[in-house]
Amino acid sequence: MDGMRITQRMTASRTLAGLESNQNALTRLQQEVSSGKVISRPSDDPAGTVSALQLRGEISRQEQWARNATDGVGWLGTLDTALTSANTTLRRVRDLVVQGMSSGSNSTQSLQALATEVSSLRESLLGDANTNYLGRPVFGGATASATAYSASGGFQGDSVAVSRTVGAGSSVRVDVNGRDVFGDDSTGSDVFTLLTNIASNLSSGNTAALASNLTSIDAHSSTIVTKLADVGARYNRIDQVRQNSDSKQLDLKSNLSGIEDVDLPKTLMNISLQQAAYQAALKSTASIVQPSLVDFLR
Amino acid sequence: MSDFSTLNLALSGLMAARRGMDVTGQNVANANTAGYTRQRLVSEAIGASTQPAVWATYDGSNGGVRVADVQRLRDAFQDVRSRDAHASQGSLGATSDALSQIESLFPEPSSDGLQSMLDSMWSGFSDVANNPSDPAARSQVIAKANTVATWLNQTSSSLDALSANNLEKLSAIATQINTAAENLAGLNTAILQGGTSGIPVNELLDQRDKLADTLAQLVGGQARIDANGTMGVYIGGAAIVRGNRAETISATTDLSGTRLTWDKDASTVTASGGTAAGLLDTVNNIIPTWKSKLDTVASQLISSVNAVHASAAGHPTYDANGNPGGAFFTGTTAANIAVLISDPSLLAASNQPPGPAGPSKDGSNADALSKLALAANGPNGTYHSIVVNLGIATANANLRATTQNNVTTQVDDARESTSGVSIDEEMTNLVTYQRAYEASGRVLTAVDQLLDTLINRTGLAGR
Repeated sequence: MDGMRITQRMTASRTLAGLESNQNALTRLQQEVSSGKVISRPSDDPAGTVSALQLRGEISRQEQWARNATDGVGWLGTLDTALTSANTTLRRVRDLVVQGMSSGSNSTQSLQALATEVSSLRESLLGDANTNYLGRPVFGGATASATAYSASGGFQGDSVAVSRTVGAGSSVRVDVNGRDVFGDDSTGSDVFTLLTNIASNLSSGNTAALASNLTSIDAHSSTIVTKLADVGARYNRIDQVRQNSDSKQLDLKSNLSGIEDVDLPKTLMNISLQQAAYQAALKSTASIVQPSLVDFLR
Repeated sequence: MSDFSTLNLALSGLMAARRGMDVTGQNVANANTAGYTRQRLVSEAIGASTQPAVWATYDGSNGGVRVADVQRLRDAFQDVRSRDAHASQGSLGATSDALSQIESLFPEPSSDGLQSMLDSMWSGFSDVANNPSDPAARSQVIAKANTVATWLNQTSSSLDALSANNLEKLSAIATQINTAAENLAGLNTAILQGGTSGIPVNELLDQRDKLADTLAQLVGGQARIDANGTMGVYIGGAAIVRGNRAETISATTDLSGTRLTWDKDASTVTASGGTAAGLLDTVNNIIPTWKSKLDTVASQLISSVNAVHASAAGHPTYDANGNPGGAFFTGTTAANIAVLISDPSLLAASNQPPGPAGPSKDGSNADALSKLALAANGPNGTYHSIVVNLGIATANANLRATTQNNVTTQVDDARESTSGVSIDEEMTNLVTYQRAYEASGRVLTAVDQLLDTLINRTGLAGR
């Protein structure tokens, strides 16, 4: 631009353009501070916007997975309690059977009493097997019926697995099928039939049958304990997922904040600098634009 | 050379200085008039006759000064550059405006955009999966899906409204173009007549140049001065103004899109620059492009959700009543997407047929629906790519518009540098002319004194 002829209008329009761009920059910084966001529209930072969108989606999914896991923890906790209680019940039945087998010491009356207790323990075991979580029988799969077992001990559930999605491609089964833990009632090898048999064997004093029943009880007990261990392992896994999800959400949110949110000290600093520049521009404009030769001729 | 002719010489000097001050005054008065070109007095000395006389000799004395011309200081090449720059700026400005408006329809990243509505809907399906028998869980996901569908409907119609708005602008600009062209043709006539009868036409020329600038900015019109001094303005090689004749154009929309057409024969105007070109690009390309991308999101949403929701061979789904699932969404585009089911129990959350006790409480189909959030080519991914590409397109358009703006400012500065009025310069000229006037007056006084001596004091000896 050297050697260029400069007119007052040029000076004025150039100064105005400079002031405008100064004020634009200032407005933009102030908008960032007042909204708290560096990216207020996609064109501000297209790459940052896509990261922000992905992070927001990821946060939403993590929140949902945590919610799913919490629900799964509820199911598995309920199962754990039910199975522990069922195991205790079976131990008590075993004690009673052993007691009933002790030859000689048992009168018919006392055997009858043992048989009555076993019958009532069967009821309590049925209660465990019909445990509900939020209205769903936890041993019944996806059945529409209110309980997994009928009063007679017939299985009313189905073999559908209930699972909770707790991560991308990761889902945890949160139920235990009644037949897997209490035995198959269609072949009569279930624990409820067994307890009915034990009660009748006790009242009839059939010691030989009781001895074989003892083996069956041990087999059922061991199935329950195995399932209990399985449920415990699943509980731990889903609980771990839930806790991880919490910390992952924190990470994701801080990442999102790093992309979207304004760096306050930096922006405030920039505002001060910009303000100083703007004021300096205003001041110098005031002193440059005014004078012309008119002011100096007589 | 007589004494009296010297008086005339002085008078011509006085007159030229007065005229110079007039021109300076005109310049100062128009220092801030847009489109004004500074003027300069061109004076020349009156010399000998170009035809030598036979019976008289010319003694070489000067005949004074004559104002030959009042010149406009303007550079035709700078005009061409400036008009080109303005044409580009008009077109880029219009495109950048349109993209910014489209961008504002996609409020991302925020919790008000489609992204969070979609996320919320996918989560909703997951909640149904956790508790398929809960009518509340089923109702909320249908409400969330309705929010998504409504957003798509509204954004699609906002894009239509934007298109209509740009069309209106284009019609208004066609009117502006016609008016400018007509005025320019009128000025051509006035300038031609003024030139013939020797009337100064500088101010008319300024007005005509300004109209040529307007036509460049609006439609990329290229101005050319013809041999007789009239200005022709051409759009894509066809004249909109030639001599005293101006053509008219108007905006036409038909099946093939929107065009500017010549009213005389309905042929297409090839507008390569200017605001009109930017608006045409907006209406014909930009808005339809983003609208079709939005339609892709909608159709992907419809097809992917329906594919999972509806019962099919190998993929049986059942609603809360144990009936096979049907379509979830209806429609094909963003404009007509809608949630088909309003009864929450019709949501097919289950993949298991009803059991003896009633419909299954399986939630695995709802779970599968929620997993669509992660689908590789699903609506989420397509929406992301829309937002990113829109952001990039807008940032690019803004950048190009800003750059062009700077170029235009520089070109205009160069033009102003040539044609603009400098007060300092005019003040200097004023002083010069004032002094010249004083000096000519002094010559007059001197000759007057000379004549006084000759007339009143000569030949008085012995009186």
